[in-house]
Amino acid sequence: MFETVLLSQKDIESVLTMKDVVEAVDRTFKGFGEGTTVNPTKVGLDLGETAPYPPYEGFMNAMPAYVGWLDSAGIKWAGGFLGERRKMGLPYITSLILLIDPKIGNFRAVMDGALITNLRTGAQTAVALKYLPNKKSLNIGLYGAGMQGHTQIMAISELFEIENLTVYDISPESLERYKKDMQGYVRNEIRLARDPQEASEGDAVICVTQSKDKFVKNEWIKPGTALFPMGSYQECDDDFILSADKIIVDHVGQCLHRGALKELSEAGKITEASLYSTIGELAAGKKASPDLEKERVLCIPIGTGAMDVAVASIVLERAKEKGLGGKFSFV
Amino acid sequence: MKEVVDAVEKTFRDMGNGKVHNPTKAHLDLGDVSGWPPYEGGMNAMPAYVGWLDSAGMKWIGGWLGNPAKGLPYLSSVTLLVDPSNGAFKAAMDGTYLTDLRTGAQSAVAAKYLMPKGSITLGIYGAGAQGHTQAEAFAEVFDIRVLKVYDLNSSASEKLKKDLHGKIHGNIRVCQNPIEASEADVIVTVTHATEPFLRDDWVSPGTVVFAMGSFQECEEALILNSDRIVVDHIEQALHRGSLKKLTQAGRISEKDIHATIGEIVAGKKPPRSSEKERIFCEPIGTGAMDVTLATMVYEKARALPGMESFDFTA
Repeated sequence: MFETVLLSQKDIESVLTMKDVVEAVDRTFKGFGEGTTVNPTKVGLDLGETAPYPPYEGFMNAMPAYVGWLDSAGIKWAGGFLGERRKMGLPYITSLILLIDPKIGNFRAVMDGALITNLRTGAQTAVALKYLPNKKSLNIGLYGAGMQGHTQIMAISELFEIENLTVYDISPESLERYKKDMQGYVRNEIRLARDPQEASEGDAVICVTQSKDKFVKNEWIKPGTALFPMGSYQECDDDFILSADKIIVDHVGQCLHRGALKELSEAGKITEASLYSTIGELAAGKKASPDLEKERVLCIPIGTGAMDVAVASIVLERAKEKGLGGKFSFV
Repeated sequence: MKEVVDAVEKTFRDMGNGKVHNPTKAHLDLGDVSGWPPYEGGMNAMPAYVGWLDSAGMKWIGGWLGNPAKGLPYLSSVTLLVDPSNGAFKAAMDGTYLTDLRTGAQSAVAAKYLMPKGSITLGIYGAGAQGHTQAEAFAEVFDIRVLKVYDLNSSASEKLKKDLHGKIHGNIRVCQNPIEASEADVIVTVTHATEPFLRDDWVSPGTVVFAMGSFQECEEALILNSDRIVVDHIEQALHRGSLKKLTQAGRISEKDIHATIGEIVAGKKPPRSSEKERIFCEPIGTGAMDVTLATMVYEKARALPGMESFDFTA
């Protein structure tokens, strides 16, 4: 009755640029602020990430959303696995995105979600930065030279000139490769940090690691810096979170229950009242941007299904124009 | 249907033994709750891990009230399966057909434990697809002496009678008046009714009532006067379907639930203490059952020639 389009990572790559992703993410943040985006808190399935059973060191998150400006609905089912998957040499993230017509519910597409996740996660930081410092060029500190470390800087370079970049990673080989891959995006020579503190200075300090160690220390972060802990676990110490001048998140419910704020939220030390605003409220002009000359800002774009649905919807339109992908009728 | 019933029973037992992960479903409102966006629809994400099959998956399913008038199906659904040990996607398949099957099997398996008789009279309200699968699933578990069907649309009841001819051992009786279908050992409601229609004083002692609709189909008194309330998933059952209103009004809470179906199937709680008890059972439906059936279908289908495959990671 209905035909569903199937798209692979290669299909997606051939129709999507980082510039498209940054624009889509910006519009979708505005939609959040204006209330035209519907994005329930993601529902997690623990496959051994925190609980011991089943013993697979993984999880899957279901992230449904409706995006008003595109009049599109969908869900991303995405997870990360450290055990068997890592041994097989597969990337940490596994993901599919499903799109439906919100008017009648038919399935429009099933597509890879890993590439879109990586791109939109970079774009979320870049767009948040658009509403933080009043600058055209930035100095950036980065923890984690993996895939996400690449896409963060690629996305930021769409909106800003990157003057200086200091990168830290526990693997020296990752650092060397990173410098080779990314020098073209940065004006001055990329600095490879030997000591983690060296990467803690800049307009934006971004953490994209799988660390559980709270390695970024409160005293390292100076006024004028926005810290982005993007990992699934806590990457900065409690003192910084509790003493930051402003905390800005993408999604209140999710940010209190996953990632950097989880522990303090469970301990009752951080509540909804501790948050200054959402990125969406800044993008929609409903809240004033913080004064980054004087303030230390904690910004957590933990990732919303709305971003995935927005980017996937754009991909689908372009793929259809070009006749890309497979086709299947589920009903 | 026999395989479906057996599999659903195993998954209930695993739930009782803590071998199933089934987080509360996440609802995406497309107008069925708040009016924005204005499409009178909504989707539920239902992920689960099922221990005895060592399989994980997610059903995404929703209903659109306006669809039937447009000649479109009310339900739309796709189920995804992953290998839980490494996250690789194994399958994407239609989820609506399996939903109908497992919904029938859920109540039949629960009734196997809640109803001490092997030979029963069965009353069904709603002669649609779910009415059919309920009767077929019960026929796997019980000797049905009489099946009484009531539907607002009596031609739907007649169709069910014709469709199930030969599949049910006993007589199939089309009821003209709703009270007739309530004179039964087991009553199942599978309707879209938004107003309660099954009355407390219709239901005799010893009866087991299954309210399967998304809205409240039974009078409040019927629920409140039941000797025991049994559900498949406490959080979900309190916040959707028949118990929703009473929960929101503070008149039903977790302590009013006698047991989950899983606890009873696993032998951790007794089903009942006397044959006279009236039991109200609400198997609202869990992703674990969908993942169970989808996994069985996948295992059979992958061996067949001509199955289509697609590499999303290419």
